[in-house]
Amino acid sequence: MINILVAEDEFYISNLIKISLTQAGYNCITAEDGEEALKLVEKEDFDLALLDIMMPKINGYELLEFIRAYKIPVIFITAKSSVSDKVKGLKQGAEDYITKPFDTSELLARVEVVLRRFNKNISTLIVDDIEIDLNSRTVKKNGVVISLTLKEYELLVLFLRNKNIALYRETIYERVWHENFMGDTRTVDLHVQRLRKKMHLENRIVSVYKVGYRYEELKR
Amino acid sequence: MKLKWRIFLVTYLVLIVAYGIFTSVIMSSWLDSMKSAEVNSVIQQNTNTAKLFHAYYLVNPTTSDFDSYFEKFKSFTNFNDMYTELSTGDKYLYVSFYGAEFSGIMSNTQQVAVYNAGTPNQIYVTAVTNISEMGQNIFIETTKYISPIFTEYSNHVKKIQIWSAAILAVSTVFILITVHFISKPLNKLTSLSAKIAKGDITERIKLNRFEKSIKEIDMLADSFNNMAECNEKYISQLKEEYKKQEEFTGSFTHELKTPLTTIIGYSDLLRTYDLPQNERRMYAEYIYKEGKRLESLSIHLLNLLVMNNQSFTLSEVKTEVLAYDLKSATAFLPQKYGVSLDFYLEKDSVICEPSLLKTLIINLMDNGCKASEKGSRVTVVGKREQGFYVIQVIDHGMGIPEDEIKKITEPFYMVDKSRARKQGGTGLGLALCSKIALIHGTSLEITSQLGKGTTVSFKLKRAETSNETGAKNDEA
Repeated sequence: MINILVAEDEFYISNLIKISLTQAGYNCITAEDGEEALKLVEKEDFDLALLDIMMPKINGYELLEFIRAYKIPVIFITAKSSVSDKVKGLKQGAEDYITKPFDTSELLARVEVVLRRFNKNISTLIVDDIEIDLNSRTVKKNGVVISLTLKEYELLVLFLRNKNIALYRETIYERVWHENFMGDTRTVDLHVQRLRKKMHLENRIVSVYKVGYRYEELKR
Repeated sequence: MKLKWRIFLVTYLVLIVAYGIFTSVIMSSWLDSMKSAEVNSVIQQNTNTAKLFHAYYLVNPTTSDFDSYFEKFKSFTNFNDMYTELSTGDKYLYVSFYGAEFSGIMSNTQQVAVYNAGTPNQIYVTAVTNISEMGQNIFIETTKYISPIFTEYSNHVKKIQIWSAAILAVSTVFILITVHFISKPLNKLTSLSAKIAKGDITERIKLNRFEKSIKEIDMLADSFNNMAECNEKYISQLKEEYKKQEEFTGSFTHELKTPLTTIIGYSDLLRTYDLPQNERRMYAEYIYKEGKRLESLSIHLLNLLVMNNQSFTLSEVKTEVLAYDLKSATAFLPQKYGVSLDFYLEKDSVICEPSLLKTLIINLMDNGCKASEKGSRVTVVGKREQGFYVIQVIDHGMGIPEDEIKKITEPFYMVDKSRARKQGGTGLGLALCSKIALIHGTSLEITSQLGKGTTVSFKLKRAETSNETGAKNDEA
């Protein structure tokens, strides 16, 4: 389980990040200010830290120094978006620099990149009898390798990552085809059909009326 | 060309030309007068000789041999430097001994000529008189060689030229020195201006004693230094303002981006997943709250900006009226915060912009309520003090730490961010209040003790028509 520390004084935002990260399968612990963040770092092991810069008590830059001593990679999340701020942050040793407002999908992608850099990323995704090696993109069901097209693979990963949550068709389209959904519903349905067939998941990938689809986990 | 050389050249040329004209005028008038003197003496001599001959003839008339007669006469009348000649001839054309031609010398008249006898520099003066005697035209000629005066003239001219050269040389040196001393401070000014233009705004010009003694240059240097001083002040002022502007923009964008992140993030969740009802409601709540926060932020900001661009007229307002308006405008506060309000405003008239003043006081009261616990009191006091009318808003809430007091009027500054946000604050309230105070020609004075409470006060000008004592009518 990968532990990520989030130091952010705005509750709404830290909550948002926590939801997104937990969704993606990480364990997320939040701190409201620099002092609390330090205490947490001393107590627990973290694989990554997301720091806001403008925090009371100890600001992000100072916190960076302490946390790096624990050999934890740091990503800055902040509203300070000028080029000089970014350069300063990166030069001080942050692995990446995300400015507010941000898309949670972008945040996740960058977190993934940094974790991968440090070989800490989740390399496998296991749900029920399905095992996916995210690095080699191999999909196994009950130990048997099943070959999928790129879109089917990404579709499967999306479902497994959001298991038990109903996903809107538009969302599915955007996340897998990386384009704005423009009323074309057939693509998603067709691919979902094919995936179901190949993986024998007719009972698990269920369609949700007026919404889209959902992967239902076997064990509850 | 540099000023130094220009001045030098002009002065030098003027000097040469003037000097040249002067000397040549003097010299030629000298020559003229010399020449006239010679001519006059020849004329005089000639006239005398003619008279003498006339007398001689009277005493010793003759009719025949003129030549020997003339010779005899000439032996009486030989003068050293003038040559006399007598002859008979044609009055219409007479040629003198050295070749000057005279045409038409009438009886008993005299003519004079100055001429060159063939070779250059052989200059003669000849005066001829025609005496009609013995029935004949007898010409009496007096001639003088006057080249010497011209030679003397040339010698003088040469001397003068040598002296001129010497004088001009010396004056050149003097002119150069003077010009140098004048252009040195000017050069100082020029190079200093260049330095300041390059950005070194702290440079000033320093003159030495001699330069200072030239009044114009001293004044120029003084005004130059003044200008540089003002320039420096102005530039640092601009830098200050720019920094403040940058800080404001930075804080503003930060305050803007945070609610935006929330709104975007949670709405993204809502549109991506079909979430359970309670989560949907919770996220919608967050989005709503942050949206309202943005709304409040933009209103306050607009107010702040509008205030920058408008001019306000102040008028006389009775404090009774003010108190009445305040009471009705703040009636909602006790309900909202559970804090009770007191008003003690002495009867008086003040100079203010009534709606702005109300905004100011209500804002302060709102802050006071926010900082206080339920059951506490917020008091508004107005009283005469040292010729002004002082208004105080007093609360018994959590207070402000000593080192933060001067920062709280900065835009977007919040001592306790999370509390402020929870209560819907934007950090702009006190910035607005200080702006209003500024418009009234005053400023906010804040005293506070942590845990005990805060008092914010400011002075207003009293209206001239209000009497000094006034009735002390406490209104509760």
